[in-house]
Amino acid sequence: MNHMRLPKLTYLEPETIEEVIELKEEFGRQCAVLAGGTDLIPLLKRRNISLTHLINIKRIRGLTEISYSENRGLSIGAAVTLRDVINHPICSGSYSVLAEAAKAVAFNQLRNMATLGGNICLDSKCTYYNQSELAWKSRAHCFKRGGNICYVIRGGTQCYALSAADAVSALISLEAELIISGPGQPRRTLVEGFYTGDGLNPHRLDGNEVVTTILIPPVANGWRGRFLKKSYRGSADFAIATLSLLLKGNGKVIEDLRIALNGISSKPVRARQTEAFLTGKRISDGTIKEAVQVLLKEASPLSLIGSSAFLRRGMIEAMFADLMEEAS
Amino acid sequence: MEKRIIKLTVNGEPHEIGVKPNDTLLEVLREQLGFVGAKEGCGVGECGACTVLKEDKPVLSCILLAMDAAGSNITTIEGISTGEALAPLQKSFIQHGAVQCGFCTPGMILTAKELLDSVKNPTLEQIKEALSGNLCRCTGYTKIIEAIQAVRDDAK
Repeated sequence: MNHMRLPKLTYLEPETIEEVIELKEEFGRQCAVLAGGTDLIPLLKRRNISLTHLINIKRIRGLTEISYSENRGLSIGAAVTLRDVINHPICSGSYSVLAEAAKAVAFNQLRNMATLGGNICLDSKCTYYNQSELAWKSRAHCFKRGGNICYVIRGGTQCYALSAADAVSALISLEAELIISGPGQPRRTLVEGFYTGDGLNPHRLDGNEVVTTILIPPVANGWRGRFLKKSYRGSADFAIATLSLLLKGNGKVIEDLRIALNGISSKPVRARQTEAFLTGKRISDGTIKEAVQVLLKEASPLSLIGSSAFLRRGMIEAMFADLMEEAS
Repeated sequence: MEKRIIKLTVNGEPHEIGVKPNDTLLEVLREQLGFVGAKEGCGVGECGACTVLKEDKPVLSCILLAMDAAGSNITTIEGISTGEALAPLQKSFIQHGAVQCGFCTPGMILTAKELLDSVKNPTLEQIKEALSGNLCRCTGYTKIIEAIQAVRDDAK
């Protein structure tokens, strides 16, 4: 059997969100939304997941559009490609942390296909889970494969697969919201609150719901931001850690700031304790050193996907110190 | 699995072909239309050997469903030469010995073509970044980059 062929499928191309919801209600766990497909298609090819129906959402009006107004901010359709995010003049302007994060995802060809909604809804990653069907024949199945064992955290009672999406920390630092459509009225939720921390079901998304739009409030004057990603091999690799920092300062005094991390454990982290610690403080080597300790404590990185918690702590510390020095 | 007729324009020529829902664009290009320039390397979107241009942008045809690509304009390596006359990048790859086993070459050239078409006078860093999704297991990157730089410099 040639595993590089896709399994048998039904391909659906609805024209409205309502149709997507109806299809999701009808086919339940046997279907998935197809946007860029850069994660989903390899998962299907490797037989990591099995599905009978794919629902392409890229032909739905509005889902591939970006709009901006000074009052409401930026509105990005879930099926907008990362390339279009990077190239959009507003995204690369006042929302530069988002453009930098989008640039950090994989490589050229993938960014031309992958979507922002897909990055937000990216399945969690694991050195063990993401192996071929053949590899799984030789060992007991983990939580994410329907078993009851975790190979990453020995003795773990849940799945600890990595929350790996690069754009997520940038979106959290921008206090972005999602519009999620379902059988009832569409709901809004902060990106920050969208993640469960359980690698098995990482998103707070019901089976019949779909993320349609990403809303990012206006960035007020005086705020500046930077996004950093550390990985072994430049961009074309999963992160050791990503860090996004937005800061409003008056000289060396921090008036307000937002810090978010991802790619370090099963959940992105909004570093609220570090934010509280630094608000109102003057940036100095001493405050940065103290703040790093607060940050590492609340980030609590795990050893996953080829990076140890030790390495992750070191990288978080280095990135944070760089960004704070740059900001001062 | 129901077959469906899709329209694809490949290298400027319109085609109507019956495809299955689980056919990738790569499979349709190679097996039904005979454009075997695009290669299957890893099959899961990591190596870039299957790179083709969709609406002039490089994409990975091994993880793109053919039905998803319906209606689009595709350029393969076969489409960038004019008759017998090779494109400047193709000539330059030959002149610089930028081809060893040749498996990555079509993808490399198409990715480089889009870079040179969209970025004026790209830097070494920009060339490397653009090629970061195309793996050469012969590790012939130095000559590949030189070949691209030569075309860039000729265009000045």
